[in-house]
Amino acid sequence: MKNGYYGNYGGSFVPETLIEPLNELIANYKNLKKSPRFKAELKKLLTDFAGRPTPLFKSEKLSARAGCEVYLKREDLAHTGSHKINNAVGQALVARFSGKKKIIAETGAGQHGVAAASAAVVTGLKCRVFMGEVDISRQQENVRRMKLLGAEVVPVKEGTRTLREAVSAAIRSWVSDPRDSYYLLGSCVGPHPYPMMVRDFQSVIGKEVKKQLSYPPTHLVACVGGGSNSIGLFHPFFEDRNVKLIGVEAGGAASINNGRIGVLHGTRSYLLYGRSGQIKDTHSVAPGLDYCGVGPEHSYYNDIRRADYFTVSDGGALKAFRWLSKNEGVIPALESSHAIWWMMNNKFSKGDRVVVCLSGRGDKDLSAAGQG
Amino acid sequence: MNELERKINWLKEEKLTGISFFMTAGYPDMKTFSDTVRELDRRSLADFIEVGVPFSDPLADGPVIQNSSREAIKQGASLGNIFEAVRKIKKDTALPMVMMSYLNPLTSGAGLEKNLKCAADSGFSAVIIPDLPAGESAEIEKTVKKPGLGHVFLAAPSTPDERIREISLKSSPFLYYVSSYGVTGARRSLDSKLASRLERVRKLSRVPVYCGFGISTPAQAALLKKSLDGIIIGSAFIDKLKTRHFKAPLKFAISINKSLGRM
Ligand SMILES: Cc1ncc(COP(=O)(O)O)c(C=O)c1O
Repeated sequence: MKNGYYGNYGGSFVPETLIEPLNELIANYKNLKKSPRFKAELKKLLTDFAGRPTPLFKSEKLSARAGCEVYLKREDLAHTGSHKINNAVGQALVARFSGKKKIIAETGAGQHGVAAASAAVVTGLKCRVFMGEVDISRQQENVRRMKLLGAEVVPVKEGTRTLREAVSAAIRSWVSDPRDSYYLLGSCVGPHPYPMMVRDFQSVIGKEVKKQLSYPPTHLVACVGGGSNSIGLFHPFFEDRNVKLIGVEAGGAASINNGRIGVLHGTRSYLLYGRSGQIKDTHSVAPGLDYCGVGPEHSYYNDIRRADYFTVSDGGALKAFRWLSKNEGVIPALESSHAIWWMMNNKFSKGDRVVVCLSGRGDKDLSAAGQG
Repeated sequence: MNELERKINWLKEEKLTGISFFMTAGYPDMKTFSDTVRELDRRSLADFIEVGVPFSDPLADGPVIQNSSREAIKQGASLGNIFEAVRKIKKDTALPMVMMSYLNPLTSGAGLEKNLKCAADSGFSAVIIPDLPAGESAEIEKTVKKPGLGHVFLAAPSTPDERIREISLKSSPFLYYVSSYGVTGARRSLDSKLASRLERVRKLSRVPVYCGFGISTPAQAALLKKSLDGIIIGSAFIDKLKTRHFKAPLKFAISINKSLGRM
């Protein structure tokens, strides 16, 4: 397989200006991956700063309902409230070791923005976050958190004013200043090496699950926006064909279920677009899933049938949001609620061990869920 | 050799600085777009036209081209009616046309191969694909060549010398040099080292070097005249089309022609 490709997917479909910065990043990352100093610092930050490992919680209520063992991987308990911190500290370290001074990030839910902002603080870098105006108004708390963490939040006024435009704005800003700034992309999308690098940093999720369970799981379930919490859970189990991998997309932003192969934001993958190639507007009550594309590795997993991808509607996610809060005392992020609802509505056998990735906490979603 | 290649070679032989304007197809509307191209041709104010296929998410473009693209899409511009408009224009003008399109619109609908064939049939001489860097896809590069289209690649200030040389070997009939870091759109001032960089690129390149991105005034054009083979102006020209008439853009085109000693 050509470097940076997953089957037919992936690549580096970017303006020429970014080719050299990407080549530098590929080389730096390759060296850092082997560097004992980098590995030691990353491990320290993941434990002492991000609070890893996160617990694997056996949900008695979900288990009773499903008639099998159901576990929640508690990424909601990681620092800043979601799995996004795993990738943010990893990449912020890459940026610092590469001599960069500034971080650029995009954010949808604001979860990646907050994670990037705090990772920037702890690694001593400046941070600038691009965020769509629509998302700014529905995720005010996170905007305040980013600002408190010293990040500059740049409102994106173009087009849908959501995550897709925020990614475009961040890439444009990076094109203007690739020598000093580092683009800290928040999901396993974008040009090579981002899908690989983000997957590597998120794989800590799946690796911990492997250690935490005394028997291997039968099902891994995770929500798929760009696909980073899911690929992080899935990838360490890729070779273990007895483990079923299930990705859950938002009904109004289901790139794998409803999209076709296309190119956007530097990568070739499943994408939602119309007949003349114009990207379609998406909608999801969960801003972190409100994106028209998906990571190339997921497109590949789909085509080789290593993973199955399903959709859950806004309504289902909201029901799971309330159900888990009432029954388990855990308020899940609306993103994660998609995975929970899929799990709650499928049949399992007695011996099954299901792990659902609780990718983040739902404090940010109270007003979106009508609980504000 | 297609008509664009002949034109580029002729300009080089005559030691003239080539002039091209980039226009978003269908902006401000298909008629004004076509009228403007015809007027540029009638008064010999351009050597070729770069026709931008509007895309909803143009990564390499600044606000002016983002807006013109959005406007053109809203009015229904698509590959189909762009080919139709260009076919009509080519019936009575001699101006070579280069198509600039992002990958996604270019590969959708009838598919890449058929779209490129239609582009060639309707009178385009070459394509520029800003999100397809040289070497990323041998398959797409091959598909572009099939109907006899030229393939213009971009080189940028971040591109190392060795790669500039390689890109120029693929790029036909000219190499598009991106003036500076950043997206398209007017810049108050150009990088002071641009002229010397252009001279180096010209030495490295096997084909003539045209420079674009951010060049917006006759004074800037004049300053670069000695260091390049031709210039491409986009946002500054499109901005003049806000008036929905070709008068203002033509006046601007005249000032550019004067500054480069072309009239
Ligand atoms: C809590 C949470 N879960 C999931 C996602 C979706 O992203 P990904 O698919 O990359 O995990 C987000 C994105 O913002 C998020 O905040």
